[in-house]
Amino acid sequence: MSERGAFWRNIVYEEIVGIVGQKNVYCDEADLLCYSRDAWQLTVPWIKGGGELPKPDFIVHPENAEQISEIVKLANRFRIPLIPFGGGAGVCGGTIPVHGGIVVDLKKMDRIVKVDHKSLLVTVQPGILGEVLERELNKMGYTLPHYPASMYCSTVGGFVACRSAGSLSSKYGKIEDMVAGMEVVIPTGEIIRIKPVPRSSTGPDLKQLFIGSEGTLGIITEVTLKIKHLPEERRFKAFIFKNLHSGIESVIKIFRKGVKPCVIRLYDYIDAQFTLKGKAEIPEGGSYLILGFDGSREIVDLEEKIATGICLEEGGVEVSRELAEHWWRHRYDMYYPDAFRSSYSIIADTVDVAAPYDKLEELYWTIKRTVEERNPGVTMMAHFSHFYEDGGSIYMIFFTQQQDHERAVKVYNSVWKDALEACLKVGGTISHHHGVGLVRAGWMHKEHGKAFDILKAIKRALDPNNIMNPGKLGL
Amino acid sequence: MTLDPVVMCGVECMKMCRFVCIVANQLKLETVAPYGKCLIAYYLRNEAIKGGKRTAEVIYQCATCGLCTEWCLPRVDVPEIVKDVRAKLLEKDVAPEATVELGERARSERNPYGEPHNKRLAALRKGKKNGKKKEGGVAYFVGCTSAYKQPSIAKATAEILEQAGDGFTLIDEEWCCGAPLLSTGHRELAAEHAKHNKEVIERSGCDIVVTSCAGCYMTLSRDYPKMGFPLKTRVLHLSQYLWKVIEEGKLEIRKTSREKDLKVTYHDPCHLGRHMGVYEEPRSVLNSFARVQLIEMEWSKRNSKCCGSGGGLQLNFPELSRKIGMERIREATATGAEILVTACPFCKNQLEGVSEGKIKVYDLSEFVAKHLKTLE
Ligand SMILES: Cc1cc2nc3c(=O)[nH]c(=O)nc-3n(C[C@H](O)[C@H](O)[C@H](O)COP(=O)(O)OP(=O)(O)OC[C@H]3O[C@@H](n4cnc5c(N)ncnc54)[C@H](O)[C@@H]3O)c2cc1C
Ligand code: SF4
Ligand code: SF4
Repeated sequence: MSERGAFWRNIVYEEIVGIVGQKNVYCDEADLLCYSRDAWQLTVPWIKGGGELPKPDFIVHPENAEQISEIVKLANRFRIPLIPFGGGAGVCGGTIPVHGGIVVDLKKMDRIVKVDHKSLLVTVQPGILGEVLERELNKMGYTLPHYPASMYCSTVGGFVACRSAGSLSSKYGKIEDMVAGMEVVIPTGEIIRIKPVPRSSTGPDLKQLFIGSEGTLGIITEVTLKIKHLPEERRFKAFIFKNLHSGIESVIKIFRKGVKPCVIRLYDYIDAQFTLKGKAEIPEGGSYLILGFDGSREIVDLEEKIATGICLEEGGVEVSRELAEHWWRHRYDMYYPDAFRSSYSIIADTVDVAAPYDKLEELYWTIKRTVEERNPGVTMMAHFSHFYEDGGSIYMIFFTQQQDHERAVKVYNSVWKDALEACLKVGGTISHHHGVGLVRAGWMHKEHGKAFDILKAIKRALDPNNIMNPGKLGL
Repeated sequence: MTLDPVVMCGVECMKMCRFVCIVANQLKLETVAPYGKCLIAYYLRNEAIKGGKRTAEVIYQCATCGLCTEWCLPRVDVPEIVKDVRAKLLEKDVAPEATVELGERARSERNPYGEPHNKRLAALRKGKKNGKKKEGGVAYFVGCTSAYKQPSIAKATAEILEQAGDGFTLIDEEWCCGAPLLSTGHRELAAEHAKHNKEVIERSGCDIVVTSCAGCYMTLSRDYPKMGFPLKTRVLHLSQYLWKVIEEGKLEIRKTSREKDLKVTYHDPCHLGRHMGVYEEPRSVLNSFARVQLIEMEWSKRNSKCCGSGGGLQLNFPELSRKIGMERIREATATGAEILVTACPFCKNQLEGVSEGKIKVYDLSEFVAKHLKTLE
């Protein structure tokens, strides 16, 4: 919109002010700059290298769904892009206003609307930060067992819009398994509600259309989530294996026995060394497995016993559970800036992929080998961060030091291309939980094949003027 | 290589302390979050933005409380970064009006409130028997808020200092310690105050200077040396001094086996707690009263939430400051306590002002002076 100039901007500004009031509209350069990025790692060398990022034209702070509805209608009239914004901690460029437009920051809508103690459901507005919600629930003896590493900086709306995953996903699932109902302002401005019911047989599940839609199909204005009582106990175990394969085999056997650890994390050799920091011996090529169990004491005892038996049978060596407890307490540490990454042009990022067990190891090796062979100087390590009965996800981390920021950006783009290509070749999915945003936008047609046309048709039907977060999700 | 905290926070961080920032939680805006301020600092430094009034507003929307640093693994000192940028914005003539006026008031009356300088210690002097100096004794640095806004704190402190045995000396020509000046970017003026206060405090000939205010304590002991004016006199905050005289048996608090029926909660002033590491002394003083049941707030000690008045927030953004203060009051009342004690006149002034009668607010000096005789 920017190119339409000051006159145009003035008209739009006055209309926005008419909807949300002047105190809820920002358009100074300081604000626009802070809303021109999210936590996408590409922005780091970009900014350090003096590059500019696309700025929005306005930032608005709606206070309710009705105001959002009015803003959406206005955006349709003027054909202005709208970019829903939660914590801005997405890692794929989902909130970067590539076409300018209005950023709709949802954090003024951050109330807990209702707690249904009988059904164990909590209804919240989308702008509540994950950690804030969890602390409030804990005070009541509940938990939303969803602990992504962005708890401190991401919102519930962002979790839902990106299909995020927390550390306890192996037992409790991802956010899509926790959503019972929602309210959405769709791209034409109507407010729709999908009521919370335990199960329903009334056609396709519309919730799932909006979960993961990354702001392209509407703005989520309320979410009802399934909560649990805080577990009586949570206990950890740690094992070292001689290779990745026996670690994965143990996990499969644990599931086959009906045991459901809440945490299953399997580190490859390099990542294990970073994580263990010499606190336990690991043979070359070995792997490191963290298991967590929670619930009532009897269940935890039993699950721990069965899982331990399986790991030992597979040749695992048990190491102090304190190592796993240490990980749990420090699980967010790796996300802070540090001296290593802060030195001149180191660039690092994570490519989260997933596959069924029959392809899981192949997926890991193919991506690692392809990326390292084609990009000299790049190291790829990984942990398998989320496991399910039928497969798991791999959190592939790459890092490289380059001479300058420009070079770092080039290598960054090349690694992503090689990693996603390799992933698709094996038959994995190109994202397990971070979502698509801009970084994977160009890959959606390859991920979905002909089926992507359905998504495009839905987008056209719901958002004829293409105002909702254009360019994201490959739409 | 040396690390650049501005880049680490503004460019590289994934907003890890986002949920603790009291200002960002009120305004719900990325721009004012710690990383947002640092990103702006980065762009300003590189002259990628002009930095007008709105930029200044954002940079001044920080209580310099340091809670973000507490939640920051590399311990980026956001308050220091903010203060640096403020000094530059003040030079550029874009700082908030109230900050500019603060400087003018301090220049003319040597206090941030613009109250007459000659009235600063008048009330205390009147009631004081021996105005004469005592070599090696205790000097009382009253501070602007106790002198002008919370005289009951000054009075209570004077009473306790008298009772503790040795009496005390008032400092002739005490000026504002400079804390509000430093935090709002008036660096040169703050240095002028530091130089002056160093002279007059040392001239008193006392061994110890006791402050009521957490900000005065931090400035005299931490910032004066950094500014090139280290004090030869030992600086103690009243809470430290009180605990010292209680331990030495100079201030007696009768202990009985009465029930702990007085529920008290304690608010850590940022300048005393997080910035200076004094958490235990005020609590120990309160716990010396047998009837006191000290209940901690959800956010306390290192994690204490700011009362909302620091860093020029009350001065520049009274409404925002008030809302943050009310949040702290909500937290205090949630403990079930009937009394909220703090150890800083500035915090007390703020918390009392927003408490709306929901909880009684005392400075530690007032609580001790009031209960020394009536409460065991
Ligand atoms: C330190 C760190 C650790 C992370 N760890 C994890 C992790 O463990 N697991 C994980 O899954 N992810 C993780 N992420 C990624 C990210 O935090 C998640 O994807 C999160 O869901 C983003 O939420 P947000 O509120 O920050 O969303 P934003 O970045 O604000 O938005 C993300 C996308 O969702 C859209 N959106 C936001 N709110 C709404 C709404 N109300 N309605 C419609 N669309 C909306 C936006 O338009 C955008 O496309 C991590 C990120 C960081 C920075
Ligand atoms: S203060 Fe630390 S944790 Fe907070 S945003 Fe800055 S670098 Fe990140
Ligand atoms: S010092 Fe306090 S107010 Fe300022 S950015 Fe940090 S947490 Fe926020």
